Amino acid sequence: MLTLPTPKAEAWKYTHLKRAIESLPAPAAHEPSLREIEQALPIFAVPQVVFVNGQPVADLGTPLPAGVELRSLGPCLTGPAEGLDALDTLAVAQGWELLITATPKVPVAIIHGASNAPTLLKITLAAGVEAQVVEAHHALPSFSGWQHHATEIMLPAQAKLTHSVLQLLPDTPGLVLTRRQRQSLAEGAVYSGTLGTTGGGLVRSEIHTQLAQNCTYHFTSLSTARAAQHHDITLQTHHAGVGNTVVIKQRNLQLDASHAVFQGKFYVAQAAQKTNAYMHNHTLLLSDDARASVKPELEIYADDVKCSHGAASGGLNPHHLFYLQARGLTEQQARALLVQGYADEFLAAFPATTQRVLAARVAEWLTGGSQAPAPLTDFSTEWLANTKANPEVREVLREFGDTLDRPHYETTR
Amino acid sequence: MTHILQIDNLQARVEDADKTILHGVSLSLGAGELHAIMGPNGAGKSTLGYTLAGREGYEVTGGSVQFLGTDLLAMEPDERARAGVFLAFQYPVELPGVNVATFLRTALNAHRTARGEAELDALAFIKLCRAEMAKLQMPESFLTRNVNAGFSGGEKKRFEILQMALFTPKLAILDETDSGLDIDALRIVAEGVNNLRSPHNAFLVITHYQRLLEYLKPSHVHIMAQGKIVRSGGPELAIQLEELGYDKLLGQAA
Ligand SMILES: Nc1ncnc2c1ncn2[C@@H]1O[C@H](COP(=O)(O)OP(=O)(O)OP(=O)(O)O)[C@@H](O)[C@H]1O
Ligand SMILES: [Mg+2]
Repeated sequence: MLTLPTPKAEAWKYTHLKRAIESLPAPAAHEPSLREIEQALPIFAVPQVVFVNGQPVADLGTPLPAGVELRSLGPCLTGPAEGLDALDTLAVAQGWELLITATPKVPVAIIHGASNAPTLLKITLAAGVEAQVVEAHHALPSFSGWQHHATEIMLPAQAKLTHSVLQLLPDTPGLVLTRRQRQSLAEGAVYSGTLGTTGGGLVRSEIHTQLAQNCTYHFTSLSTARAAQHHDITLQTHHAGVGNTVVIKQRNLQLDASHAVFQGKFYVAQAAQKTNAYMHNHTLLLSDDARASVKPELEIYADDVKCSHGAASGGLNPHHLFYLQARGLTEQQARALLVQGYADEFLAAFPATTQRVLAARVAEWLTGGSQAPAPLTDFSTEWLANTKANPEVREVLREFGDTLDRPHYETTR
Repeated sequence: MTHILQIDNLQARVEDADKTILHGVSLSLGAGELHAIMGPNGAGKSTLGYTLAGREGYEVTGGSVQFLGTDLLAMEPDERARAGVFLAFQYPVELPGVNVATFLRTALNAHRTARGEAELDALAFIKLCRAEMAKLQMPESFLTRNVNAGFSGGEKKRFEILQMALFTPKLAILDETDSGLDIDALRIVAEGVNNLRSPHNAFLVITHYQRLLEYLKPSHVHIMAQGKIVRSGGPELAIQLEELGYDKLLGQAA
């Protein structure tokens, strides 16, 4: 019998997983067809693998570029034997490994279709290889239940991974996603991560990072929530050796009675001199009922380090609102523009591959919530919509250095 | 003569200061006029601007304000703006992540809709904006930046004038728009104001310096002290003030 975590465990203080899972409705009997799934998939325009019920579906995938291979790991467990809690003990029918042995020319997208069974993906780079990998969690509105997903990332010396994870879930209260990512960086490795989270009922995203020495770890995360959605981001970073640089930025945009949790911990071993690590959490509370629970922790045994954390939470600044109203914007328009600004600041950190997909979902969140402001005409989107036909706009765009002709990777189906 | 703005014995309390700052201000701006307001620090000049723009926390405790014959004080801040009242802020506000072009176009279209004009599409907007930016010698790269974020003091002031030029207000209140401008920028901004002047609008220009007024040639100059207009006159009053300073000039009056 599985002993699910409860708030009695320090790491689960603000997220009652056991209660959430035990109160889930029985999973829907409806099995969506591949056609239904295909139509709802996000489009990244890069080579992709689509998992349905933990298995790659050839019909939905496209050929992977040279240097990238997907291979089966067979039956396995979600975590190591000496795991953290029950989430590390789940049986996976078949785990998979994305093996990247040579720097691929294009990014690769892995789409995890929602599944009621646990899933596991390893991402392994060879030494010195540079790659961009997208992981997107995707569910149809008809899906409910709990999915646990484990990702394990191995970056050997001087490997460089740009990793963008999207958890773009429908607003289904009975959808619980837990995602535990473990990553290990060898000397000089670089991990540049972005995480975008929208929707779902309860979403818990963990990243456990081991840094050897002279590693770079950048992480930017944007979460938008509404209704009673609960988004938990829990990050643990273990600095083992000298000279690691870490910058973590997390932002929550919250409507209604949503609840955001941010837990961030830096553990700096005695050997980890010259560590430079910073984390910041910002929560924008757009309703009186929205809540944030923030717990940053530093545990430092080295003496020559720079470690800091910051947090801010609150509503929109009345000075900002007044400036916009004094320019003729209604309060609703002013709020929408400011919220969009807070989102855009973080969207800018996402690679082009995932930026537009996430931006579209954020726009939906902004305009569709129960107390969301009126739709805003988006300058760049509308601008771009005209571009193909209008040479004059193309010229203007070029002057502004807009990446109109952003490379699109050929996909063959 | 048609009045654009008529302020009668306006009294206002600033909530944060927990005291009354405006102690009965009366002013009347006719169409085509440009009035300058000068006065020592803390006299209440910005408070007057904020009160006219409808800022929260600036509570009117007495008097009245008519704007083009309607009760300005009954309107919300955004209604006042769309009706044609523009306040160039003494300290323009930085808006994190808010793109300049998106902001300008949203605000301009709010004004156009209120006047019954069609909204500008992206291309028409960018053309108009380019032309106005060129006049103010603002590089177009500002369009891709965030509102006032990282702008220098002078760039913020120019950006206020760009907005004024785009929105073509009936009444523009400029609160120390000349502070922080270099000599060339001062001339450019003054030209921006002069270009917009017409027999159908009026300007209320708050300044500490005679220099801007040399370009603007105000029809009236007022001195405000301790929440009241204590002296009014023509352009010569500003020159006198420059020579004598407030102590002597106002001491003379007393
Ligand atoms: N929000 C506030 N909180 C506290 N005091 C305020 C506030 N706003 C205005 N005051 C006070 O009201 C008085 C008038 O301020 P105001 O900014 O209107 O002066 P001003 O004439 O514009 O001065 P300056 O020439 O320095 O810009 C000052 O004494 C100021 O300290
Ligand atoms: Mg002032």
